[in-house]
Amino acid sequence: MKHWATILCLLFTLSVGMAQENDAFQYGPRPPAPIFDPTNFLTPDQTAKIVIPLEAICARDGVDIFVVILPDIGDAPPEHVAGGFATAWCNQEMNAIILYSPSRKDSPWIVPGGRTLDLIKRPLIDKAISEAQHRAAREPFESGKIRAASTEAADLLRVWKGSTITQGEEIKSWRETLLAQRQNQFSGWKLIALAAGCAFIPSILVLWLLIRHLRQRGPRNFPQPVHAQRLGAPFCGGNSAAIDLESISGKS
Amino acid sequence: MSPQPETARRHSSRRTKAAHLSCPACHGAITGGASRCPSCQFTGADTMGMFPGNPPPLLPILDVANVWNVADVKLIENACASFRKRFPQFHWRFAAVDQPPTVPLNLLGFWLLNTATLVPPETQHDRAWTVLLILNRSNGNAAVIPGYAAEPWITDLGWRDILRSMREPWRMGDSGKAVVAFLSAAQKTLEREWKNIRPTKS
Repeated sequence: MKHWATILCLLFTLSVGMAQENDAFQYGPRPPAPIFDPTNFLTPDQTAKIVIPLEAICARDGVDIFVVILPDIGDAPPEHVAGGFATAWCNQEMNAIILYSPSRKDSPWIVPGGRTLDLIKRPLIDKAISEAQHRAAREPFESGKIRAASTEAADLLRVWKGSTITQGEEIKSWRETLLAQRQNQFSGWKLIALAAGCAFIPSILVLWLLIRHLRQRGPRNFPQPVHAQRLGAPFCGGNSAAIDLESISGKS
Repeated sequence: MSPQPETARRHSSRRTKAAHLSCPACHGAITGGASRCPSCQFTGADTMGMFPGNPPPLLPILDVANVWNVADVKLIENACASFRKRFPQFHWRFAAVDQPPTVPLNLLGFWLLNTATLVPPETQHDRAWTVLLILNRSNGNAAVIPGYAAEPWITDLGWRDILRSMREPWRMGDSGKAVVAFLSAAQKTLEREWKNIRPTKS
């Protein structure tokens, strides 16, 4: 049995190595469970403990965590290997590959993919992933390391998904607020312009009336008439008008 | 009391020609500078015989007949002050007498305006711009006698219309408001006359 397992491991390692070098590895359809363990490194019980929570998270939160267990990845960068699986099998929204190679002490690796890389700043991702990997690596058993890594990855992606939605909402809200402010400002200016337009003609009219009124104010002087005395009278010449104030007819 | 250049207006020569000069006794037409009425031979000296004695000083309000009470006097003074703000050249005198109905009121006013002594600070120039409104309490007659300088701006017919504005308050027994109505109507007429004369270019 050990002999066959060794052969299979070698064959798989060779095939992965060839896939890395020649890109000849055929991913085929996605496995029904979010785990690829061709060497049956994990027992069914261990697999179930990892897979069931991941399926539930994927169904509930849309976060796709896929576990890949390879006996050896050679010199290939873990990100490159994981990226291939993510592209082939994962949804492109929010995903992460948990790559584990028993021959490597620094595994498991958590490799996020999809829109995560577009929405979250790279330094933040690297820092969070590094810490999560470190925590997973401290598990005493192999299966525990894989399960811990998958749980850490699922938590991180769920948090990031929530935060990205929040950020998106914030951006949307901010844009709406800005738009509303601009609309308010525009409508304010429009109202001011309208009011100014409406007030212009009455203002001109009022100004004209005011100027006219001011020009008409003040004393009015008649020119001094040249007159000659009449009937020997020094101050008035006898012109007069008289009426009967008590007359009912209104005639004088 | 000289006209201010910025508000003075040049009057048309037709304006003085249009002013009808009449004899106060017979109301016949006379010419400017005539010493006697060509129709009735009336002269100003004749009034000295008609109204013997010295005339009283021509106070702004000369109320011999007790027509106006204190409130009326105040009302008239305020109306006069308001009028003079607009037409500062014009001086007003209001006299109320209680004479027999046979006394010709316009001749009495003519005599009063010509013979009353000038009381300082009144000057001859001021007297020429004076308009006398005289009322006879006994028969309710009213007459207006304008001085030489005041007469070209309102004709006798115009003055008659102005006097008619007094009728309603007078009949209601409000002699103070009657004078105020008279001043108001006179101001309106002078406003129209002032607009009809051309502004001075210089």
